[in-house]
Amino acid sequence: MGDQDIALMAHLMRRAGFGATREELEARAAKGYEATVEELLNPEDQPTLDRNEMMRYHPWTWRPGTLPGMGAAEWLHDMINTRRPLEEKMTLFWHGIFATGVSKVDHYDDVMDMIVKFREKGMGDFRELLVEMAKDPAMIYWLDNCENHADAVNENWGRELLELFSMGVGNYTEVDVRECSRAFTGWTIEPKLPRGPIGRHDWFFEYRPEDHDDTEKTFLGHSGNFNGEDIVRIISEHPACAGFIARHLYNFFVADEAQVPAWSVTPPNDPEAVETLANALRENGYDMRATLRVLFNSDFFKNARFARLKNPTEVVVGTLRMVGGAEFPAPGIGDLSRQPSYMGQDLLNPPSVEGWHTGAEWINSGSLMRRVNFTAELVGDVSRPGIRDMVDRLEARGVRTAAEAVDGCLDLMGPLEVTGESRDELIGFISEGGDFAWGTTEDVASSTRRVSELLQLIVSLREYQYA
Amino acid sequence: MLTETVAGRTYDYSHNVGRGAQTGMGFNTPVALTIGADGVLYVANRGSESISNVGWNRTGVGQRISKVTLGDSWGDEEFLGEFSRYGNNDGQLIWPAGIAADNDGNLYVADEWLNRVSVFDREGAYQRHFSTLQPGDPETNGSCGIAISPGRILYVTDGRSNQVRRFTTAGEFLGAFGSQGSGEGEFDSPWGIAIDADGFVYVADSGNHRVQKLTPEGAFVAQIGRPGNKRGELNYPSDVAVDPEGDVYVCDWSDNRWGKGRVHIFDADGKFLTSLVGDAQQLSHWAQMTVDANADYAKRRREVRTTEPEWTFAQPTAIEYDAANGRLVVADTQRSRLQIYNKLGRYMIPQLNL
Repeated sequence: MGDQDIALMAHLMRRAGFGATREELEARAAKGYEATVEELLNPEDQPTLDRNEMMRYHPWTWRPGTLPGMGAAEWLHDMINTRRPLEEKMTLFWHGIFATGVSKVDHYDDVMDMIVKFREKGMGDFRELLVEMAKDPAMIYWLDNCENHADAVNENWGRELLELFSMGVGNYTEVDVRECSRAFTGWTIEPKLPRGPIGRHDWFFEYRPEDHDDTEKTFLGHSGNFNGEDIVRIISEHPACAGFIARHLYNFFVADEAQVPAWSVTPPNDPEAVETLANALRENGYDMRATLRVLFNSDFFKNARFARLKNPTEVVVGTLRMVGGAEFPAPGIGDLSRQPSYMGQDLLNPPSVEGWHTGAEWINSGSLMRRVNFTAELVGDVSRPGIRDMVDRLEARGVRTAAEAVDGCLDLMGPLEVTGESRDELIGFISEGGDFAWGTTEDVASSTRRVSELLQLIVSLREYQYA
Repeated sequence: MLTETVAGRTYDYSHNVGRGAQTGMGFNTPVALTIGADGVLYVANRGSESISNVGWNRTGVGQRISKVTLGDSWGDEEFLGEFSRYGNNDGQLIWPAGIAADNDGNLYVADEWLNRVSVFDREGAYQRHFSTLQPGDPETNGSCGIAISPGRILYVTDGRSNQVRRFTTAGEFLGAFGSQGSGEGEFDSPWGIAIDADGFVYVADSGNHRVQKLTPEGAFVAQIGRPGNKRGELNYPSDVAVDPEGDVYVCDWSDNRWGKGRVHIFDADGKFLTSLVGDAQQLSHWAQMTVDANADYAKRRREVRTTEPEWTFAQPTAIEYDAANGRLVVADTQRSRLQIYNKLGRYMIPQLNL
């Protein structure tokens, strides 16, 4: 197994998951790249997490119960510990597109119910997911479809469905927005019991035929007495739809793109790649699994190492998966679930229906400091099993010089590719302590401490922020 | 249904007590119950985490031991006080999981994160604590369920090391039994525990979806319930209680119509009798006070088609038999309330063709 196999596998696992330990990378590389892609694409072959453990130790994570600010604790724990990394990554992908937040919905449990739907349907037929979203109580409330009546149309859901969930600006008219919205009149939510005095209750979709505009509409050139499902079908038959989803896939899995609002005026960085993905969607009936197979096996994906800035969730989850020790849901898990928020990605609470802006927009002086502090504290904890393993591997390799230590750490942290300047700085820092020794208990303790210091410097490098 | 009838006894729903509250009149995810020497009920509230700007061990909300009386019917309950709070200092709790009272009214609270038992007097004054960890143990054992035998021996289940440990009430370790497994006398995440008048020990063997009856020394006697989601089968039993006639009550997280949770009732021989799913058709007195004070709550309650989703248990985690009053008390954890059922003995089933 060559270093390049490990590097490519690490790339795949960063993108199709949240990274992997060296042990896992070696095992996967031995199985082969395409076999690993297939394993990732078939999460149902891997066990699910035991939900009862979380319920037992943190009963406050129960749904429909909910807690201000802490709603993503269960999801974060899932992302850290899942055996189905792509399923969880796709869930995060869809959350960024069907961006729905507690800032308005004010029920974490209902937004978490969406997350569960993404998990269950996110790798299936996109059209089914779109209908599911149109019926989702949190979405209905978020985009006011509960205020969309036969005799008083509210266009919020109809507009965002076209603009942000399926086609993009420039592919439809204001009349289409109106007609689309009319087709979704009567798609609403049942009144539910209030959150007090004994806790929250589930919210349910309700179709009220008496409140549905049951007359002819003309949408994207088609005429008929359309209902919501017809609109989704017509959208999916429009050439813009596959291209729109393909560009989202490219931006999330391959390389940073322009932000969504600019898509109508900014062509894709790699139009050919986006078209390849769009064709895969069209040819496979919008099956996400088949499309992701094309994506992960493509050269444009394999050649895109470190072409994306990690989003905050990838920083937090990826680092925790690397250092280990977060398998048991210990006290403090609520605080842990807040960490991506402090870096600019408040899970279950996106800034708007547009979702989070990605790429360089993740970084500002405050968020960068948060990234560095959080990750440095974790990799500086030599009691973490993942760090322990790195030290053991460096010792087994007989690392002696500062350059060997730096190269070894960069290798085990990724492998991470850094500039020559960064590498020289790391060597300069760590060489002050002389060569590494492993002969005595004191030697091992000293070398371990120095390795952890080196790791802390590495996570503060620009390069560590890229996936 | 309001009455569950089985041969020789029936269970009548009485009333419920509680509402969601971070402090005072109400509970916050109640997970353990015990009846004190003077008939007072003590409720361990697990509480929740909150956004921290200080260390995690100072950021819990709602953790406490509540002291209440239940009364005989709706509106008779009394809030008497509360003690302890979140933290790892003396007298504080991180993950309260079990509570037991001795004949002198002292309370023993098991904390499954701190792996220790904290002792309070009947007024809630902190007395002492002792670790349940013994030399050579792993870092944590997850001490959760706790019960006191007629001979004043403390039995503590270890949810994470799959044992039952025995201590004197002073905290002296007397020994342990059980190990990880699914065989007789083995456990998988044991949780609630009860002891009958003869000293037999009943353990909610949560991960094995059964209750085990054991001798005081830990020898296997019988299995009560079997895994499954059908009537009479157990799914993650969290607690067990036994009444003076030997009937065994088990609460678990199996599906009911609106949520998760049942109370399964078995006779002394382990034969399944019936199950309860919760019957709180009327809000408790305290809960009604909240609604009365919030006009929008009252309005929304008028709009819903049914209040039925709030009748049933939602993840009940603790159960206690109140022998002095012949009734069953269920901690309806996610609804932050207690549902109370009276047991009527010597019950004759009427003829069917009335």
